[in-house]
Amino acid sequence: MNPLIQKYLRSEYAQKRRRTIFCPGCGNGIILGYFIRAIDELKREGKFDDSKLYIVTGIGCSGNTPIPLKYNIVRALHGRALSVATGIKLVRPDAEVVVFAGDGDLLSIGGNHFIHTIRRNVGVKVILINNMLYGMTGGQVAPTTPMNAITHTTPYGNPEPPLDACKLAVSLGATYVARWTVALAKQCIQSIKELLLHKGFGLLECLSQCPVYQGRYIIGIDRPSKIMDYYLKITEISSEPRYGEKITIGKFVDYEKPTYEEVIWSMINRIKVMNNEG
Amino acid sequence: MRVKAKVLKIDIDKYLCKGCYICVDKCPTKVFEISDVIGDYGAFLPEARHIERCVDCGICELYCPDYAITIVRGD
Repeated sequence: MNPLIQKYLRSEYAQKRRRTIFCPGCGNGIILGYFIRAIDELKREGKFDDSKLYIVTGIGCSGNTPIPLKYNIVRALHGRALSVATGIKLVRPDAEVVVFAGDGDLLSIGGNHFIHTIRRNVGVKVILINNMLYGMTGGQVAPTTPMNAITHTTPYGNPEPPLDACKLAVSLGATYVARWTVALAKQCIQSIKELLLHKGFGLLECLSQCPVYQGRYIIGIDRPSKIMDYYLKITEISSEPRYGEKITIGKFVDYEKPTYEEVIWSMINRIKVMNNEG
Repeated sequence: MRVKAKVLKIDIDKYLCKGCYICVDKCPTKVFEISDVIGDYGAFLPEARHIERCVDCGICELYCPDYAITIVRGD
């Protein structure tokens, strides 16, 4: 096993008594590798303290992504990962809260929580793993499935236009939004590093592959490396989020504004002082 | 000038490899080949058969979803 990765895994994974539960060639494992490398680089640069790292996940294959890690992990209800993360961040404002979620989990079932977490600008960092369908349950249509794509529940083509998570986040005023694909390793690691050092709400959408269902239904080939090549073919660098025939990738916004936990805690401190004086 | 350490071998873990062959397809100099050895997951293991071609880009290590690949460097 790779010694760099081994340092960050729980004992049964590090001692090679268990493997990750993903299918061969799944993008979730690659993204977890990028996440570990980003933490490792930040720790070596001395900018990041991983003793206060909390990880919240939703349900789905993407929810299994951080399970091998040796950090504090919460499995939340389906779609409610952001609500649990908001709670942790409000109680412990100095903690670093990272949410791993899939496209069905975050945009379909938890779409409401996604909108309101961005509106409040809670300082949680979201890594959205987008594989364009519901992978765990057998390849059903998701909000991010491209139009006319064939899936298990749309055998004659998807009649619905897809939802662009990055465009939604930018329009709601998220302070960090980026989208990359798993094939772009350096950009993903750099983006995760920027995300972890960012103050407010941050969203990194990572276009990932699901060779078993996405590969067979939407793309037409189940070889993981070919799906990675396909992603490089359909994406282009831009500063404007678009999700249609061509998917634009890149860093869309990066700025800072007051976060929800700062506002709440300054209000609590103000009221405490007021009550003591009265 | 600091000389980069040479790649001695590329170790592929027999227990962890699931046989997705991302390393075989993505290696820019085609170091890997699919061997006849069957790993613990039931897939044919890739093998670094042409190690002399390796340019030490590290892409196989980065892309491996199961962290099975370790590049062993030395003098």
